[in-house]
Amino acid sequence: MMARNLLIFLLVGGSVFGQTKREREYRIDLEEFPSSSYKILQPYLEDAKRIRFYKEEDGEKQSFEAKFKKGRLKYSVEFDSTGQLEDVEFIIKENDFPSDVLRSVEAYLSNEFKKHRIKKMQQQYFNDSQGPAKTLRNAFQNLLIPELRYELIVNGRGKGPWRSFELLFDSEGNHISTRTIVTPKYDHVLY
Amino acid sequence: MYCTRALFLLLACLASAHLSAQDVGFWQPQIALNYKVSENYTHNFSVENRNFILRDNTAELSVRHIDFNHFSKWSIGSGQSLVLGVKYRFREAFDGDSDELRLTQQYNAANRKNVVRFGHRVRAEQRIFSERTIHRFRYRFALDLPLEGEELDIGESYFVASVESVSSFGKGSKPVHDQRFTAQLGWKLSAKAKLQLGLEHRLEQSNIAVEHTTFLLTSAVFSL
Repeated sequence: MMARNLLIFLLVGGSVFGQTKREREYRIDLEEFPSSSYKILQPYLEDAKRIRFYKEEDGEKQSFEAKFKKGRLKYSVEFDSTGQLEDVEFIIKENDFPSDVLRSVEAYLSNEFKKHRIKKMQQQYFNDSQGPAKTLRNAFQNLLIPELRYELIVNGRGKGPWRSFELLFDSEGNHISTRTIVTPKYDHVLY
Repeated sequence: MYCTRALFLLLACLASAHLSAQDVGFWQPQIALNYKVSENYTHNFSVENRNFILRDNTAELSVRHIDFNHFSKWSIGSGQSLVLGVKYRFREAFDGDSDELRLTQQYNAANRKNVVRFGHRVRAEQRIFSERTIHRFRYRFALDLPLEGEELDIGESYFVASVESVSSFGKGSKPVHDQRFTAQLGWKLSAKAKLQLGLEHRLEQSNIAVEHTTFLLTSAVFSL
């Protein structure tokens, strides 16, 4: 009887405290940031404020991110575990969108959701064939090139309940992809 | 871990200083369970109790009351919810005062700005005792944020702080206004479990003759 109760307790406890794949993002010091990545980024950190470095671990995949504010824009520059540039993003507002692009994006959102609220907008430059130097230059000069992407975080309600989504649009405002975001729990604060 | 150790030490020092300066101090442990019933509807059940740890400048450990709580929450919009709650407080068995049945109606709106999440909570309560009923209205502003990155991951710590105004009205008695200040450190042990440790300071009856009370809060929160 005692052994059975202990087994039940361990199984229940294990299901509460057990975990499978662990994703983690945490702040690191400059010393832990890849030196090769910092070397590429350093010229763009002049006059930058609130420079912070993060490491992200997603199972076996690792990446590094530098976040800072320069001018009025908040930048995020991501590198992979080998120090190669992945992408550059910065937060924008509605009036930073070209008007025809904004119209296209708004039309998609109105069609997709009964009600929606845009929580965050980012302009993205991926490091593809152009190489890291050109990607960084394009991003920090805020060039409107065909390769750029717009990422929106939207709270929206379709037929179902309110959810958070991450939507990707191309440089002309055409929808590319949508991903549902798991919002952080609030039950430890609410009551 | 940039702020966690510093905040923990600060809370420990504040707890020690506050409790030694108070006439009354309480320890209030709680265990809570949350689960989804459907997409928009969740349940919360919790058990908490309040214990005297300091009374008339003398340390002690005695139970004041035990509460059993339930809240039903409906998500009504982006970060907004309506909640109905019921509490039964067993007090008569411990210090002779009346047990309490409490009915709660709550509206909450939470919004995240960058890393910090802000929440506004409005509550109406009907506190039903054996010989009287008190109506209470509360407004709380809370903020919470992760301490080790921009998202709260497993194994990481977080901080919650709040300030709350509480006003109580009962037949034949003066209205009573309280202010509550709370700060807590928490740890996300797994996807389903969090532990919290904190302090609450209350300025009770601030409109009549203010009484200072400090609470040491410990919570285990499970979300299935």
